[in-house]
Amino acid sequence: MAACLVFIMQVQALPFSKDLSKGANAIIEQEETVFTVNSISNGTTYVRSVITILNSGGKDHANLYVPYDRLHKINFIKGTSYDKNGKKIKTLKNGDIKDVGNGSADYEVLENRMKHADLSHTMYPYRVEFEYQVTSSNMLFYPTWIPLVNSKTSVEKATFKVNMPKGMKLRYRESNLTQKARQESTAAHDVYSWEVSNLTPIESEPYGPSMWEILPMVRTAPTDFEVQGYKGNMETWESYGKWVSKLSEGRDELPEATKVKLQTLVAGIDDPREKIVKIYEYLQSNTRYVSIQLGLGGWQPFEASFVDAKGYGDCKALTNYTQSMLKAVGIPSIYALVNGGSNDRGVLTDFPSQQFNHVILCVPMKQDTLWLECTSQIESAGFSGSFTGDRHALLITPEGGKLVKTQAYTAKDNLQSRTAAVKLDETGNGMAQIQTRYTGVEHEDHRDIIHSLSPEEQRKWLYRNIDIPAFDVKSYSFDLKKGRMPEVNETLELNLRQCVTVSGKRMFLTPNLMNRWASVPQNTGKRQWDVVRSTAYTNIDTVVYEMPAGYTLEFKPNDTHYATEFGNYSASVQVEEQRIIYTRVLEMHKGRFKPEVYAAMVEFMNNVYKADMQQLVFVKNVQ
Amino acid sequence: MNVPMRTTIVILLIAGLCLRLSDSHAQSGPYKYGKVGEAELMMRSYDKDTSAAAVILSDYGVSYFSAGGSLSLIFERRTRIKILKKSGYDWANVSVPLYQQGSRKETMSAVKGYTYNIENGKITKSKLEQSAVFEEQYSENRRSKKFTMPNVKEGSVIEYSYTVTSDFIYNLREWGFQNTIPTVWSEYRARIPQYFDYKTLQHGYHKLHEPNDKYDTNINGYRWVMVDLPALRAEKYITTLGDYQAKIEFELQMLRVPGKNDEVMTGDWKQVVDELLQDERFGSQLNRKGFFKDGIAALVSTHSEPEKQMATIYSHVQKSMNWNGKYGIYTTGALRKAFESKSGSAAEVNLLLTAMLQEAGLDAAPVLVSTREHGRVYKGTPLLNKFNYVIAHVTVDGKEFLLDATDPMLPAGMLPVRSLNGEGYLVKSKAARWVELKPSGLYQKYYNGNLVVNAQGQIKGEAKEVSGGYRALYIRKEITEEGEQKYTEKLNKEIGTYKVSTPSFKNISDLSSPLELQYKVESTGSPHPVDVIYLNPMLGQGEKENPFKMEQRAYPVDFAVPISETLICRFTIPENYELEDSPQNVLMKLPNNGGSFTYIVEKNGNVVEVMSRIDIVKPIYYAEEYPYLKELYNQIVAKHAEKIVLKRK
Repeated sequence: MAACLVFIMQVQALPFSKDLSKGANAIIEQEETVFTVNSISNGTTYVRSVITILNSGGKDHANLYVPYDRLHKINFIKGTSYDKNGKKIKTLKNGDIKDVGNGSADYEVLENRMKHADLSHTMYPYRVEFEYQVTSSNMLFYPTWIPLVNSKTSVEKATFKVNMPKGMKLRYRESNLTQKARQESTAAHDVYSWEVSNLTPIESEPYGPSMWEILPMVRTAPTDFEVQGYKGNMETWESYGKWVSKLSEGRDELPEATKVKLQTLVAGIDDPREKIVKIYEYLQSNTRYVSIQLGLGGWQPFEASFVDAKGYGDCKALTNYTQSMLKAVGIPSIYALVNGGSNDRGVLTDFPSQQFNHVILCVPMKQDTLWLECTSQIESAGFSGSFTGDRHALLITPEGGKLVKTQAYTAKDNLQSRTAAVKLDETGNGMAQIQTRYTGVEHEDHRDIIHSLSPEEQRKWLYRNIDIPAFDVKSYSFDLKKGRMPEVNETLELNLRQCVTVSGKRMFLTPNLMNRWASVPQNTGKRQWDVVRSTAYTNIDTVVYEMPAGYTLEFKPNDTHYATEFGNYSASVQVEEQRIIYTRVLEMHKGRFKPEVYAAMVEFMNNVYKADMQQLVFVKNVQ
Repeated sequence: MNVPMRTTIVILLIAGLCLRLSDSHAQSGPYKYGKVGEAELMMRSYDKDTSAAAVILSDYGVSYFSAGGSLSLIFERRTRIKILKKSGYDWANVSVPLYQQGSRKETMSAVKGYTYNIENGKITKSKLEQSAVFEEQYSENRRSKKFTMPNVKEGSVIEYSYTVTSDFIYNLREWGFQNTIPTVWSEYRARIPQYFDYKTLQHGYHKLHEPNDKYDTNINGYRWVMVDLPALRAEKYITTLGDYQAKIEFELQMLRVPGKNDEVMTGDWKQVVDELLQDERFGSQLNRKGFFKDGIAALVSTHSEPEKQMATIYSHVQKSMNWNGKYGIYTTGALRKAFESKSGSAAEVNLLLTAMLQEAGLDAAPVLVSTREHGRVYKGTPLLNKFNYVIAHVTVDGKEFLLDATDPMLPAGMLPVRSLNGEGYLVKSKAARWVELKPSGLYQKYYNGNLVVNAQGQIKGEAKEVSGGYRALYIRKEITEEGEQKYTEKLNKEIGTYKVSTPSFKNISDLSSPLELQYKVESTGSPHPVDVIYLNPMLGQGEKENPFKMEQRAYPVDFAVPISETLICRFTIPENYELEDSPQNVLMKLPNNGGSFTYIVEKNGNVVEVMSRIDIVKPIYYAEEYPYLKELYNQIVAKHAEKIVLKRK
């Protein structure tokens, strides 16, 4: 599905104050964005910006990219650059404006393209002025205005104006703005305007909230809209869902032969879940994902019969196809829009608008709900992990849209549980037998490498990812068990080099074999934003060492326990003659915390880091 | 083609191709186009590489000329691929890059394709519809046709063919035999009218195959075949994967048009150099020095020693010219224009540097270079398109220097890593020759710590980190990017038991001096005095992980520059404590003086001094040397984990 278009707004200006250049690579002196709605099916965005680029880090601002496609026409692009004395360097001519693809990969076919104008210069500072206008007939999207979209950039003044024809209602949502919208009226329009000035660079912080949450911005959305003859209303999720539903209308017909094939496939199976798994496996072995974003701005699914004949489609087409196949065996399911990918941009539930970039299939069951990722050839039926899990999805039915939460997994579900037996010899080398079970989100890396890497590459992957200073992989195996809670069981046999450090007559053993906390963020002292931890998981490690004979314990670290709101940690060592038993349990929570607690989180992480480095010391017995 | 083969890195073949046109198209090899058998469809894995996600069963290409209307170069390709696993599905999405320049262009036509499957014992055939062929324009010059094969499943065999018609008749297409999946049969033919004379370059580690058939080159054109090629795989520490691929390339040497004099398209080096020195966009630019005459005279007058004059001019160009990131060996226009706009390509920046050095009376000349990403350069054949970069060469009092002014952080005489690639060609009238592009600097780190240990086992003291050569270059770049204040602030942190404070840099902008970083360091100790103190003498600076973990290595390890890392730490131990135990001293050497590791602990009174030194003296180690390199690092990692034990008396 076409990613949401974000119109990058630009501006206009004056000599700037010292404060604005501090920490900035560029200063947006003036930016003016005017969005004029001409009708429910047509609108125009005009942007003018004046930007001073202070150093090479601000070079991006000298490059203007204006996306377009069949539904977005670029009316004009103008641009001029000036040196620091105000002398004109260059005015864009038509030939300077390049037509480029939208950075698509080889396997993608996209309709959207971009015009690119480059005014970069190598003597700093210099100033660029851009002006352009785009007319859109895809009124599903109204602009989102983000005056400070780049890092290390300041804004002197930026304005945003929306001209709505009389009688049409603008819906908008302001965030992080000090000044609210101003409303006026002209003969033809209701005019809404916003202004920001003297914005200094916003710096991200480790474990901070998403930029979408902290940047000043105004989101706008239509009430009534029309795209290529499809009319809709976005005031409620319900009405928006009705519009999306109309796009798929009549596209679910399957050839009779396929229906019969599917019905034969599930014949004799009573359990609906089993039937779903059969159909999902049929999908996975007969189709593949190809990103072909054509037609109605990339919003209308290909017909089910097309996918049936060709064996490929994008997320919309494959989801629609799966829905049709389930229907053919008597199982109702629901087409659902989500925002796939990292979960840092939650849906604004009280601002119905097009906030999604992906489609999955929701299958309501008696007890619970199954979510199917129809673009994957490898996923377990009903697993929705880090790509679509734990977020809002918009269910699409002819009766309308409805927001629901997708599957969420807890720290207990996302488990890495390991037992290792290590036999050490006099020289400090050893042999390790390691069994690890990964479930929930924790199984995803292994799931992917099992399917996408050859054994040779898997071996290389293990060499890169096993956290032991020097070792050889003697043998390994992965076993993936698909299911509602898929899991991978990994068996490793390793030859360890210098697993204990022999130094003079002593042996130093770090009992935490291969799961040491690796890095600690910096504690900067002052913290501006909330602390956000977005993943919850549990790691359990039990390592049993068998030491060579002839050594006596000289030092053993104390057992360690930390219980914090971010997570709990405990590590203990038991020495039973030649055997050493190390146990470590780490449970990390997800959540949102006040900025003040950041130092405590860093301290917790550093404590874990230190505890994981603790060593036992043995001395060789005097003969 | 009965030329003796060597399976070394490069095999050069020179062939004058004189062929008649013919319509015969029958390809060689085990697979016939359009005939997919049950055996191929039933195949579940490829026995020569059971890990393969897909395998190219047959890849066949032919180039020939067509004289319909104007002369054009036709390239036809037929490819058959067996899809074995889902991760091989991407091979069913095909992208054909096409080039255009002004009214001249490459066009694709006659796309055909079928996907073959076996269903209930029956072979089914799905046709590639023309509606599944799309075009995508990337830039003015580059576009691509894409198509997606239908009904691809695990086990499918896909076969497609297409034709590319090109107006660029002097550019005979290169052919890559090897891919990132295994290839069973790869064949390329060229039918070339006798008035084109091509030079052939063959690369990689694989031999040509000579099929035992009655193939007649006079009828069917030249033929190059390779069979059973393994998948090409990337490794760490290499130049560019393309350097290791089996492929064949062509360069037009001679045009013999009947009724005209033969036209040499590329000659021997002497001729190439003479032409380059006359070229409007290369050598002739070196003769126009008027626009900087006065400036150079003023600069030169400040020093009498030629070497200092060179350094002054070099740093002047570094400061006044900005490299625009563009490669190539020719200037886009006059050097004067680049000079005035203070910006230019690598060729412009370094030709300007050369011209200015010449103006100062120094013996300077340009050097043609192929950057690491561009790939290895092949000596002996004067192919200018094998070069993509220019640097300057200067001889002062019999001493030679290589200069590159594209990077403002480089000290005079040091080359950026991108140009450290084998040899370059010195373009100098009557003195042209290959010059080695050797790194003149090292990746150098020197760490010096002075610390006091107390009875709680706490360490306190000062440390100094001196960086030279390429290490200094990297750090200076990072500092410039992030700003000195922010970069320094980030060093101020606590990690584990160590805490670093008051870091400060010296010589950030003095490129001729090593970069120095000084800070205070302390570690946490116990709350009470302890009987035994375990001291980590590397202060967390040691090698913690072996960079070479794999058992084997196919390609040379290319570090680009030698490495030298020294650490010296002096610990003053608390009174009433004695050195109870310490790591043993070692000296390890790589064969043929390829490098060494030294580790020494010494006690003088109440001071324990630890010295660790790693020297990796060669920029490139061959695959046979890999086990030694790996073992050296194993020993280093182990040694760096060892501890010093202090005991209360």
